[in-house]
Amino acid sequence: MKNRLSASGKEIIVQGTATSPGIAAGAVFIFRPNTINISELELQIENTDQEIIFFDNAIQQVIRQLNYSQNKSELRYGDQFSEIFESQIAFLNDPELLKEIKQEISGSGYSAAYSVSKILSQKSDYFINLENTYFRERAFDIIDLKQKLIHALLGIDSNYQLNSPSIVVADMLSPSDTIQFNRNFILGFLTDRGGKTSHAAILARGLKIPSVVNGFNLSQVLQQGDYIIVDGFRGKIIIRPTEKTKKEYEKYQKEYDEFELGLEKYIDMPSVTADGKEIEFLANIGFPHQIAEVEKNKAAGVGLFRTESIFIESNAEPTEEAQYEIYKQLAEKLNPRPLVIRTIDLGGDKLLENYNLESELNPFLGWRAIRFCLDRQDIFAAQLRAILRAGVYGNIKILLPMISAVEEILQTKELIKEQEQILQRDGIPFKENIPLGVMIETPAAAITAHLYVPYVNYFSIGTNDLTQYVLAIDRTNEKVSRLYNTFNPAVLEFIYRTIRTGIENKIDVSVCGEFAALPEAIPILLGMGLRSFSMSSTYMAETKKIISSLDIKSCIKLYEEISQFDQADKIEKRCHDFILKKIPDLKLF
Amino acid sequence: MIKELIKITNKHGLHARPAAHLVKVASQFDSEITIIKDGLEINGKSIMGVMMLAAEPGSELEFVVSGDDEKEAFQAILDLIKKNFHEE
Repeated sequence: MKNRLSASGKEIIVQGTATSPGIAAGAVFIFRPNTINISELELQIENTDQEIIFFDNAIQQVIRQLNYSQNKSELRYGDQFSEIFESQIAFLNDPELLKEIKQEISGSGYSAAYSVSKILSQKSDYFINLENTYFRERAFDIIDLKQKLIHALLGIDSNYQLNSPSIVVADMLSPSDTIQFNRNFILGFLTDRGGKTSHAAILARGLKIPSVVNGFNLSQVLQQGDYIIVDGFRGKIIIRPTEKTKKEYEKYQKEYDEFELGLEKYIDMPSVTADGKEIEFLANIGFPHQIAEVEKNKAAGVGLFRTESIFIESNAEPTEEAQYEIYKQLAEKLNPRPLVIRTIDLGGDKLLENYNLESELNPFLGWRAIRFCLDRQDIFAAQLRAILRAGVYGNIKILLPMISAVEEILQTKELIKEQEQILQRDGIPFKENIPLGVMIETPAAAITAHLYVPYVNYFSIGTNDLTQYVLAIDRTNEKVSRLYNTFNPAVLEFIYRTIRTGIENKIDVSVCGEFAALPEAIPILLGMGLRSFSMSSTYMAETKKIISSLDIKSCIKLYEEISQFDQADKIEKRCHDFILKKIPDLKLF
Repeated sequence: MIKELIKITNKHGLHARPAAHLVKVASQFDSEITIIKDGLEINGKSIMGVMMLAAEPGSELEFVVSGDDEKEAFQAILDLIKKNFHEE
């Protein structure tokens, strides 16, 4: 096809869909130009038995190709993409599907290639019309299998040979195509078809290869060697960009690369301060599948598992059994690293329709978290039993939310004891003496944390709620939310007291709110004596970098200095200047 | 012959891995296993068929199991689905 785009001299911008972030700029490599005309394959075959043998051989050949791609992928990237290859191989081993194609060959007398094309096109057409995105995009896996089988039957080799860094442009790319290219030469992917949840897109994101789906037929319009830019952030394709556009994107790409590279190396570094003090980095998770990010960012454990997700997601009360399975699997994966399970923190902002919670005038001061749990002991007891049982499989700790009185701890301990007795009676294995901790997120808890010491094993400071309760500010209310500031001297005083109470009584203290990952907050938390941080895994590399640039002595000095300040803004400004001086390139984050 | 409705309760429904798991369990038995959803009738031993059900969480599938080992086959399938395919 004539390259219509080169005819005019202007830069052309096409809006597509971004499927993997990043910027790629370079020469086009057209992969597998679509040259096979299926209708030409509609030949009548006389010896259908022979054709079926060809078909069986082709199946075996493609299975070998996929196994090879899978091994290659596992060697390079671990088992993170294995499911993709497994599912394609499973289709090729499906006796029902093979039978259907063979019947088509022997019944119609068409060539194997034509029969494969016919049956698999029917299947992919079926999937492409489904509403659910996941199932709809399985059509691409089937189209890919179809192409692979036809190529195997016709003896066509796909050309994966990249000789220089290129942007791979194709009608469609499958995971096994993606893996065949020399990673060092792939700048980006541009495909006509596909979607965000297509396997190839997942793989591209995993490999950090920028990728855009154009939704047109650019793979037929572009030619080998055309210069394009693929913007995997905004889904733009710029064909024959001007020098000015090129420069803009070069700058953009450089900043992004430096940012990514700069942070990645911190994941593997030991978590110590510049003067060698070891700091614990724990991860906050809301969903069980986030364990993958926890592992990727090498967290020392899970410091906060918000179990509400299990209750909200399932839209029904999850059974003790279902909860047990989730906790057990997480505990096993992390063992011996800790898994801190926070018991249900429902109510307030996370109303659960199923429990018919009435709308309250002051939900944040209402029937939520531990208050709800102690009133609904049926729900609470089931969760506690699930935790006690899962405790056998790893290093589990229980964390109670919204504590504001010792009675709440005592009642929970009583309930735990009862559950232990029930499990004992029924002969179900469980772990005794699971460590029990409390969230310090009400002013009451922070100011009287010393009263809790005899009953608990650790404190976890929840800075988000603590700020809201100390300052009496509803941060969801736009009229007052600007006053919500954890740097307020009152909030800092509560945090400081809790940390000191922990240190004086040899009780572990961790901070699990958003404050723990805030660059300006980290030095003052270290200065207060905090040595354990729990945060979303995505902040971990950045926070490690910050910690490694700080020394405890200057953090203590900083805290002493700002503890004399009387206004939040002044404290924040001082901390900002301090951290920028220590880490000048921080503005890139 | 056993004919029963089973509700899918795992996280994402019958995605590739749980579907493969189901087919693997079904294929261990001699009985014929048919699964029906919204008028679509498929062979429970075919991964293509099971994926074509596009069963999302909460959807109900009708299982028709018949053969000498139908009881064991149905029980094994029921256990697998009730245990949410032993997912994380």
